[in-house]
Amino acid sequence: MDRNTLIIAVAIIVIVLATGVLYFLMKEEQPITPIVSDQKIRLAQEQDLTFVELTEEEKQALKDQGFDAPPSGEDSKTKSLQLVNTSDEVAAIAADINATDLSGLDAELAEIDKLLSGL
Amino acid sequence: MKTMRRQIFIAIVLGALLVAGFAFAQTTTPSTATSTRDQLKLRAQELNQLKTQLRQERTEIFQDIKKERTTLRTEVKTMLQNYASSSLEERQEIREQIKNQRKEVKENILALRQNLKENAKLLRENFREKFQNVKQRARIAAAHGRGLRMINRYRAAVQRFSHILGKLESRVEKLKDRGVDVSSVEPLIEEAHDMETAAEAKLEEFKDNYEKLLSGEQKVSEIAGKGKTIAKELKEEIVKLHDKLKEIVRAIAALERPLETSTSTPSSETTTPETEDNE
Repeated sequence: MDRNTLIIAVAIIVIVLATGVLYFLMKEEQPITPIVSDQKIRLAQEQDLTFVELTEEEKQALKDQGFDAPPSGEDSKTKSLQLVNTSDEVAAIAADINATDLSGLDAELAEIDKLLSGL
Repeated sequence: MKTMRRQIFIAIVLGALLVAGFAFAQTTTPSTATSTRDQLKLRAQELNQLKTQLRQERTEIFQDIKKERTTLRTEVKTMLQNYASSSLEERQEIREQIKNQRKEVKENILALRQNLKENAKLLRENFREKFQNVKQRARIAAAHGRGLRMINRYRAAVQRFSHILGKLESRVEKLKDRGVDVSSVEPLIEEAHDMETAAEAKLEEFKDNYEKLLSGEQKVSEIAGKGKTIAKELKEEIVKLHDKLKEIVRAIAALERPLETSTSTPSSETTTPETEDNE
């Protein structure tokens, strides 16, 4: 390998490396386009309501009277109401407003009525 | 023989000690039991006193909130009537006045929340003592749990709208900074804030109602009936707030549209938001 070939080879390697470094630097500087519809956050709710934990005996007493044990775990309706878009674009805000489903907020009333009747 | 005599002696001493122990126990046990009973009685008295105190405080706060809300609603209506024709300074003053009045209601709501939190601890401490019958106790605890679950759902709806309202408000501020006349939207924002406050106050009333189940001081049928009434009223308040937010979005979009056509903006900003009117 003569001297000229070596110089050309080194030059090519330097150019390739420099192009690579430049590419990565430019990529990092590009602004991130906000994705309005996909970015959501969950609103935190104050945890000041404490449920009375039913004992095994109380659960059995409920069952004996023909009632289901109270649902445990997260309520899907509550969870969906807590999810909102992060964007403050009017279109995203309007989407949150339109996506609000207020049906079934009082779904528990009938069961409460049954549980309390005759007491 | 000597060993036997020693064993008899030890047996007599042990026997004497045992008898003395029993005798001592018999003389001391009643006094310990009496003092424990006295302590329990005293504790129960203290708890009752505390509960009564919290209840009285709650009644007063509820009355204050009711009065303040009525005043707020009437005054806000009057103040906002001439809002559009007022000068910039006057508008600022009107908004400040409304904000201050609303602050008073919000402070009372917070006080109520704190009161209910303290009361909740006492109620749970005494719940199983109060309801000795396991069948009755189980049904009350289950109904109470379902009540809280429902309250959480309503709360999430109010919280969602508060969050959205905050965003809309900041959007209006941005428009104002760009020199846009926002006098048509600001009264709507104030009205929405009042609805939000009304819903928050109603939520505390809702919570108080189902907490009463654990106290055993009110007829359960009355609590169930009141729960239905509050649920209906709260739903109405929330639906009204929902409609108001839709109205605000439309008003803001109308203000933003001329700006978007005059300047080249990204496509996401030029989207005209459509709000559905049907529930």
